[in-house]
Amino acid sequence: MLVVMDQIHAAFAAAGGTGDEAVLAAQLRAATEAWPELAVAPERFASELGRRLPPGIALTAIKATDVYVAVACIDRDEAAIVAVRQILAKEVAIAASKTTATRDQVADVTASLARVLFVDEPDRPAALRDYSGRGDLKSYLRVIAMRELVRVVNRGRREVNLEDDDLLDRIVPASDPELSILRAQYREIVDASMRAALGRIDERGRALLRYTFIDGWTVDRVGQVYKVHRATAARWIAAVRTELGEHIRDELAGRLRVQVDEVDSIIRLVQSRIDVSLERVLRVGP
Amino acid sequence: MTCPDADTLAALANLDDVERAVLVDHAATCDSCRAVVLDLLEVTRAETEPSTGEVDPAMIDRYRIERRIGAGAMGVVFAAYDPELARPVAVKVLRAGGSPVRMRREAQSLAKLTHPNVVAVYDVGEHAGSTFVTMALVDGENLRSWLGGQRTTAQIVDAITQAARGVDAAHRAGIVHRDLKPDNIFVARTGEVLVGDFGLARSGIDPRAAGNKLADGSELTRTGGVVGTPAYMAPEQLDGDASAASDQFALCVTAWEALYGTRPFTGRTFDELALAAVDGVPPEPRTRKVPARVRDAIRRGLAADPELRHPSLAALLAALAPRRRRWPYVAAGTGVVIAAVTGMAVASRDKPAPSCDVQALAPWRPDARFTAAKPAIVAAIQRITGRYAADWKSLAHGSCVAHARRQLSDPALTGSRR
Repeated sequence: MLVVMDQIHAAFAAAGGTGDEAVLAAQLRAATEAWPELAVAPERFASELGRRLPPGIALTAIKATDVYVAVACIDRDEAAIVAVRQILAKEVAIAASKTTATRDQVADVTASLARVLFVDEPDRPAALRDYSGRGDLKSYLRVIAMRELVRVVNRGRREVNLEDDDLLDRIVPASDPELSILRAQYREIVDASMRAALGRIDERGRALLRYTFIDGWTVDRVGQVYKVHRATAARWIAAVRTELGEHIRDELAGRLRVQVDEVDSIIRLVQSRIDVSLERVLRVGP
Repeated sequence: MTCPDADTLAALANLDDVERAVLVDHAATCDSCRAVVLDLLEVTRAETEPSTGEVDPAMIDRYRIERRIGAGAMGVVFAAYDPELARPVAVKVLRAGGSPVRMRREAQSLAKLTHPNVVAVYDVGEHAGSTFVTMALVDGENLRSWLGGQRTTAQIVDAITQAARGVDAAHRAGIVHRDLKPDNIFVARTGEVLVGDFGLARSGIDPRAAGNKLADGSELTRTGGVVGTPAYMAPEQLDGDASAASDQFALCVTAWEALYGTRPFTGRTFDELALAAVDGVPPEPRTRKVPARVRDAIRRGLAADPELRHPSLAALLAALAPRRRRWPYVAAGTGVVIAAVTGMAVASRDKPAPSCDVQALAPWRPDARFTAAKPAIVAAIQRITGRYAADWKSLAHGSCVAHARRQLSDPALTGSRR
């Protein structure tokens, strides 16, 4: 067995894998025990594990049992393909429930994904070859399914504008009468200033503005998604708001070339709108 | 940044915080990654933290979640939007613990019930392993916060009456509420009162088995199980026996609290609460003048013995309603009977209500060691002696009243007439 394990580890290392022989043995054992009905040669599996192992990721972190069934699928093992198809159908259904995909679209996606996953095309290898085991296979299938569904659902629809204009509209609600007047007078300048101000915010800040203004996320949700305390999230949001306000002020002053006092009064108006919107966003409980 | 590959995204749950935050930043402006990232964060939550509800979902079924409007022992409530029917809704995601099949069945039967005083149920389904119920979103506040404003007795009686109508309609449809309290009764901006959260509190979990302490006698939220709110629960419901009669009791506790600002029964444990109810309804606080018919109707609904309460919510409603002088309109053929009845009614109206505050039998309280060693036996004995005490008290009370009215029985029999 020791000699055999030697050869298996050699295959793993030859394919670019780094890791302990004992860990490899444990992973191999776990995989074969989880899938007794599959028969992937140990050297073949070890070599695939090695090839797929992402740089900087420990072999212990790899879901070897999932990689095992993926390799079996590539090797055209019927039992493995049936098993993966079952998981796929379930994940497509769950992903579809979160989109507006029609039944026909879901059926199309399920069929096309089967090709994408299992079949090598001249320009694109089977997607199961790219699966490293860093996340579980179920999640991998879910990601691919969700992406495809979003693509199919959005096809034929006007390109969804995720650029800054809708963010501007949220920060400056057009329905506000005060601001309507301001915008009527200074529209181009105000909008251009705000766009430029937004352009000076970094990616994190823009994401925060987007999530809070457009998606209406609460501080709690921002904190949870970024894995920080709600107090930190609240501080981030407050900081980006202040930064945005300052940038708008600078940009407006530069564009209007008017007295600072006048800019200030305009700013106050704009700022008051931002504050109102932020109050809504920052609804912080006791 | 360019979109990360599927393999990286699939490992989202295992990514370190920096990598994860970069992905979340990216998802803010990338439609397809955003769907994937939000989807996966939700999956991760559902699988690793079943019921803490860490991240609010963006969608539940077809409903777009807008904000969290409440959370409690039973679950989380969101204000949401139904894009299909283009209307705002409330979505309540129930904590695991109860039987989803039964919850579904009850929600389904409630969905068939349309009544102006019942929060309409639109839909029921499954989301990430939990049952959710979609309901009308009431534009208003709950009774508890409504009571925070100064309300007149008439306003409160009207609100309770409307709530009772809603509960009555549900009872007629065979639905028991199980968790009536000021927090589950809503006062719309338009003035209608609606009862919500029907039947959702049933857990099949014996409240006594899961620990016997009340935090402060007010609201008990217990992790794991879903229970009614003990302060509003009838003694028999504390034993796990919810019925239309226990709803009546809870509604009367609510009415009492609404009128007087305190609850009729207090206790630090389930047993203390049950015993307080068995001890009898205390005298009404003098904080507010309440019409005698309302006082009496509420007192009767608070009887420890369900048999002694109003036979139905409809009967409670009738007792709450202002009396109309119906007698003169009754056909003349039954004149004799009517004369007798009116005579009695007039007589009892004229005479002040007899003071018959019967002293309750002291409840049986075994010593702590025995209670600790044999909790089941103690509970059983307390139930039996409690029922006996209630019977005795109502007999004694009846006898005292009869004596006062008709000077028949011997006051020494009860020893309590003042």
